[in-house]
Amino acid sequence: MIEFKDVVMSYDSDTVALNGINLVINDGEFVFIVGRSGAGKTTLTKLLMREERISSGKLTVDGFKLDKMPKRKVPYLRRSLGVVFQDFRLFPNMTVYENVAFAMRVVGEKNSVIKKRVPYFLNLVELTDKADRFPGELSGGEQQRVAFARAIANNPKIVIADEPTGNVDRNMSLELMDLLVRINKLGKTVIVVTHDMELVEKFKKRTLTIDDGVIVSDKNGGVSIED
Amino acid sequence: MRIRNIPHLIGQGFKSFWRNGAMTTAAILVLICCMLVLGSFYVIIDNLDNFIEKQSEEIKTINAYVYASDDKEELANKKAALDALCEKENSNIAKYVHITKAEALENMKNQEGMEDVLSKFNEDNNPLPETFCISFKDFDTVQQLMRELEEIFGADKIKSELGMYEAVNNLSSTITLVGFWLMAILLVIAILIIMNTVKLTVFARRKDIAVMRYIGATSAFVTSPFIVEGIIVGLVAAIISTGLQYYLYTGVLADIISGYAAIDIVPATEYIAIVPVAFLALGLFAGIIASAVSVKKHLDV
Ligand SMILES: Nc1ncnc2c1ncn2[C@@H]1O[C@H](COP(=O)(O)OP(=O)(O)OP(=O)(O)O)[C@@H](O)[C@H]1O
Ligand SMILES: [Mg+2]
Repeated sequence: MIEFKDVVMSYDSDTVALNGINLVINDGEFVFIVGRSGAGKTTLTKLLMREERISSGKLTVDGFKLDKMPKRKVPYLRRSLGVVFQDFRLFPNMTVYENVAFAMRVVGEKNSVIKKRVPYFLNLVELTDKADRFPGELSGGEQQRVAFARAIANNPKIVIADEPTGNVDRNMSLELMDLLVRINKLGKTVIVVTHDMELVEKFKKRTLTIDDGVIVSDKNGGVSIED
Repeated sequence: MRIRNIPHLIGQGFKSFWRNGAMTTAAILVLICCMLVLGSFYVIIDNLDNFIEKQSEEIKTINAYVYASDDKEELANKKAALDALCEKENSNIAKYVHITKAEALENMKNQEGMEDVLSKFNEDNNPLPETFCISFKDFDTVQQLMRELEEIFGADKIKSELGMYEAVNNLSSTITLVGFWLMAILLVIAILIIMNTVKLTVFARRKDIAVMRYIGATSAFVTSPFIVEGIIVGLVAAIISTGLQYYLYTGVLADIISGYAAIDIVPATEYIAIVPVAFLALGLFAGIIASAVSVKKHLDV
């Protein structure tokens, strides 16, 4: 479960990115987060993985109380999250294969398991033939798919995807969304940040709209948002 | 960190050693430079010190003369008194050598050009005194010994170069002291340079460190490959420096030092216990401490 209680987050005195967030996301939910650019969507995901710290309020993620958690627990929080970053954050000096394998190594996965599972995930995102390429040699969409494979490689409880379909064509984005829905059906919580209202309408899931650091609507099923 | 990860982490250290070729080469070169400067400075100071010490050993003596050549009894008495002084508890006499007047004349005659001058002297008209060449142990209490010897031999029969000895000794301590502080300053500079180099090599990979942290890597998991890599860099630098220092010393420095003064060069083997060990310590410092400290800065993401 994820629970925000009166969460305020400011980068500095002028930039209050989130201003009083109250929100509960239960295990197994599928949630879209939409909103204008600069609304605070990425900031919200950064709080979840403790990349940024809340300024006030309370935040609980999968049993981790983030407002008073010691630093050494951060890695274990992050292992229960699979994050597809808006800016991918791949290792430029590792091949596609190594990028995914490395994520599994980080959590101490056995070599034999890694050898078996990496090809499976690469196949899932249709990158089997690019396994030996470096991220710099891939298109934006391909890099995004590597990030996607890496995020789900460790079977995380919560999958967070920040604009996972931002750089791929319609077909691929539908496929990635299908994949997220399948992952959700396995009992994982899925949070998708997106600008793509078409997708939101098509998949009819719970949708949070953030504007200027506050949640302005929280609806089940598709919504239409006037810009 | 799991045991299972350890082979991977060590492998990762080796891998990034090769992968970051330019960086590791730069770090090794910087380390070698620091080591050679420190090492060369050390052996020069040590040679100088060694030379001065040897000089001062040679004048760490008091000569007592007995002219009463015919009076065998007096000579025996004085020798017995000297022996008693040697036997005394806490005696300041390290040892003494008795040079008979016959030996003294022989020695003199053996000096170049002296044979002719001294040819008219022989056993019967030998003008030289019996000499007791007394080495003392401790300079601080040597005045006490002087008084005791004066009592035995008479004040005018005692000769020493204590003033000279003191001057040479002071010079030696000054060189040791100055050398020590210069070494300390050099070491601090070397450590700063090494820290900075390691910091740079780590800085170049701060993004990788951040991403590792984002996907849930513990600090130990992130840090250990850097330390492994650092140890390799430190070891390689220490080994190369030891070799280079050897050739630098035996091939270049020794010639320069002995060119300035007729100094017996300290053999390179004397330094086996200290120079490579110091290089290794510096290398491992760079590998372990400097790496860990530098990485720590980037862990907090
Ligand atoms: N590192 C930062 N330092 C200071 N201000 C920041 C930082 N990151 C984001 N902000 C500010 O915080 C606010 C929210 O940013 P955030 O990245 O959460 O927006 P977003 O909703 O993800 O936008 P987009 O749809 O463009 O990705 C913005 O005003 C942004 O300028
Ligand atoms: Mg964003």
